[in-house]
Amino acid sequence: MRNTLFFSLILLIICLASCTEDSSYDPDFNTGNSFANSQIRVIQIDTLTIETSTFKFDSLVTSNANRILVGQYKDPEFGSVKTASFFEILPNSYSIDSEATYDSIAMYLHYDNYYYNDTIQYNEIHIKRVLEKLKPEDESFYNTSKIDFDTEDLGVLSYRPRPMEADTLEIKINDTLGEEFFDKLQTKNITNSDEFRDYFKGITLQPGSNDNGAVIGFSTETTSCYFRLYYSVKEDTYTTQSYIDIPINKITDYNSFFNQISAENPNEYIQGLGTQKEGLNSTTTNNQTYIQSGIGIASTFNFPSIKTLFDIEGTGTILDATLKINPVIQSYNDQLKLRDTLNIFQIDKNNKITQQLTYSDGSAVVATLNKTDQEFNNIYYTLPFSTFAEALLNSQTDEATTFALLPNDFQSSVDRMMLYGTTNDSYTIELNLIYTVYDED
Amino acid sequence: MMKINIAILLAFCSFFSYAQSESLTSSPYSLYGLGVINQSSIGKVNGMGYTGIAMKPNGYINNLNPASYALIPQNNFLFDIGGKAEINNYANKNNSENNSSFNFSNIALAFPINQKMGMGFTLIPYSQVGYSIIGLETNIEGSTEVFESNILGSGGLNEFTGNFGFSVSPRISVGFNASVLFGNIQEEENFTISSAAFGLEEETSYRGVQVGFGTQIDVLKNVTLGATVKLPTTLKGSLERSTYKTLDYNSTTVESDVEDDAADFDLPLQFGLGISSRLFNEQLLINADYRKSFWDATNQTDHIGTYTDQNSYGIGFEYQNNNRNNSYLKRIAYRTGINYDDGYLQINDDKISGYSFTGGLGLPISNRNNSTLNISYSYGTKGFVKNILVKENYHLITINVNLQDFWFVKHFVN
Repeated sequence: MRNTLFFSLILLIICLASCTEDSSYDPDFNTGNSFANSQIRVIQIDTLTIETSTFKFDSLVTSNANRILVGQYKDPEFGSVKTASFFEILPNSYSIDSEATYDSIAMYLHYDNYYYNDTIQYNEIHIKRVLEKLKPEDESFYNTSKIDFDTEDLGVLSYRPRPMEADTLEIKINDTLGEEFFDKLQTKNITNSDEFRDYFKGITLQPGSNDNGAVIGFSTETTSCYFRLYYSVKEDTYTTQSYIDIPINKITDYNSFFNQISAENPNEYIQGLGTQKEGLNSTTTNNQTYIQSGIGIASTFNFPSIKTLFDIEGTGTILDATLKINPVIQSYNDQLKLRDTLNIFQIDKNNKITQQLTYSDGSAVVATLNKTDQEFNNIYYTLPFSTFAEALLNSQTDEATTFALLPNDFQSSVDRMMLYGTTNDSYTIELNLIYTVYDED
Repeated sequence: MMKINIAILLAFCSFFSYAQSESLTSSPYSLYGLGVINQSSIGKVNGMGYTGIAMKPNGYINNLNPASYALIPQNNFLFDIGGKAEINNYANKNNSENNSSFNFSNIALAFPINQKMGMGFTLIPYSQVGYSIIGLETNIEGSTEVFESNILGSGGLNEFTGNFGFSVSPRISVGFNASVLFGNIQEEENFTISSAAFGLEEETSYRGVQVGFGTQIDVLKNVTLGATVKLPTTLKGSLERSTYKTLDYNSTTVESDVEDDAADFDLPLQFGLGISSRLFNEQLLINADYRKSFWDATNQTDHIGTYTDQNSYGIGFEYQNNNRNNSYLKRIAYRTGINYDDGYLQINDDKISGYSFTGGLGLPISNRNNSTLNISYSYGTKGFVKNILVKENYHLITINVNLQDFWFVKHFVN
């Protein structure tokens, strides 16, 4: 009897003890501040040294672009910007009814919605015949490549660009050329692409020499950029109209397409840019850095003293790092626009791109333009840089890693901008770091 | 009989594992040091203002003085197990809140070695940690802004003690005890700043041994004096830390279970003096105790708190008509007491003192021995509402069973 009582009491208490639960402490009870001290220090640092420079690519590959760039304008800082496009055209078909007669020929171009600078002005497009085979010596053509072409126009158009509309430009082509095409096809003088290419090496689209408007982008789709050769076939009692399209050729085993992009007489600082590996520190370029896509001018930054974070006593880690980049006031306007985003590339000591910065999910790291305060000239790019700042901090090498800022399609656009470097008083480039020390030892 | 022994062993084992459980208290003051140091003890002292340094055990386990183990009657086996329920109210200038918890409070056994010697083992929570501080504002250095962090703490230490008592003479007994203190305290702090989040988790383990001595002397027929001393000791701390953060919206582990040094914690020299008397036909028992802990000498601070010398005073009464009376009501023991503690923690210039009123019943569960169900109730208060301080009122109910059994003689009886 007593044993049973003992036993059950013990069991009861074990159960009580093991089955109980604390009511969870309601965390609304605020003990108030200074009852305890945080064990953690959080430090905001915006004084880390940043070196900023500008360099210019020796050349940019422009063959891979899916955009024809044509136009010219005078930029107060970057000089006279001129783009021209070179490409082959090949007929879709090599047979024309022997009874047919030639009517006319024209070129058609679709906008691809890219433009830069002033589209109110009239632009000219001059179509000229290329005199050299459009085959690069190595794999590609560059923005700096030179190709001979006939100075005589095959066709010319003066137009006011409406690049955001689904318009097609029609440019009348010299009938002499049209009839020549017609005859060679009708008489089977030319029956395949090689023969056509030997006879007609390609065309170039050139801006008017006095143009000062915009650079316009056109699509390189074969259905968006083509010559159309019209002819008529007489039947017994009526005439049928027909045509052959001679579109841009982009499917060859070599790159025949490219955009030639140049900027002449820019300001003295840009003119001072030498070879690619010789960047100019912003201290020698009016405390500014420059970006010009198409030409290949890039702004760079690095953090030579980021490891001084280790001088902060204790064990810590970076919680946030944001780079704030200010465009030079009045260097941009509604025509000479700022890009909404800029991509970031890691470059080596010869200023060659080694990789584009991406997040772990593969999406590009971008600096985003913040325009909310535009009316007060407080317009700036912010670049979330935490992951990379941490990588720099923990890297084994003491050599500073340098990063370049460029628009995403810098090989097929002409956007440009000027940024403040490190030493400008009010609008300096700035890395805002939040660093936390969680162990004081 | 074997059955009981096995059951007791099992109970001990299960309590060892359970003793390490989480968040035993919710006092904001448990932020400091090892947490809130446990006041309650074993058996009837909980109803008697936590007094009993000079109290003769008389069939109970008295853990306040190891000398009392000398007086366990021959062939007795004493076992005591208990739990406690606590309802707390916290208040500061701005708000107040209730909280409750239920936990194990002790497990103890004691037995005689021979006519002059006895020994026993106890496992009691030593300290309890359970707090959450929400929205602690700290300046972001290099800016005028602040970050708000939340700090959560849990865990606690347990004390496993071996006691040995020896009767030097019929009037004088002395005792010795050695305690192993062990346990883990977890602290977590986390915050977010704009898009960045950071979390720190630290688990600090403490280990240490403390020894103590005690004596009980019958100065008069009905008056006993008691004295105890606990020697200062150092609990070795070791720490494991994990840190997490989000960087560009990705969660990453900064450190995982990194071992680091933790500051050791010093326990002070402690002494206690007590007087105990049985009056009116031994029907009334009076205990008065004084205890002092020399925290000043440990020179310890934590956060904004400083450890300072602690004095505690208690007086307790027990009335029992007759423990062998046929009337159950007359065998019930009635207890009451008061305890005042001027506090071991000083925050700014205020010592966090506390007092408690206790009452209790000893309900016999056998008419052949002293096996008793002890229920005690204690109402106490700690701290006060002033500036940043928090006042804590609590209702504490402890229930424990004191089991007395006779060993070795049973075979003859049966």
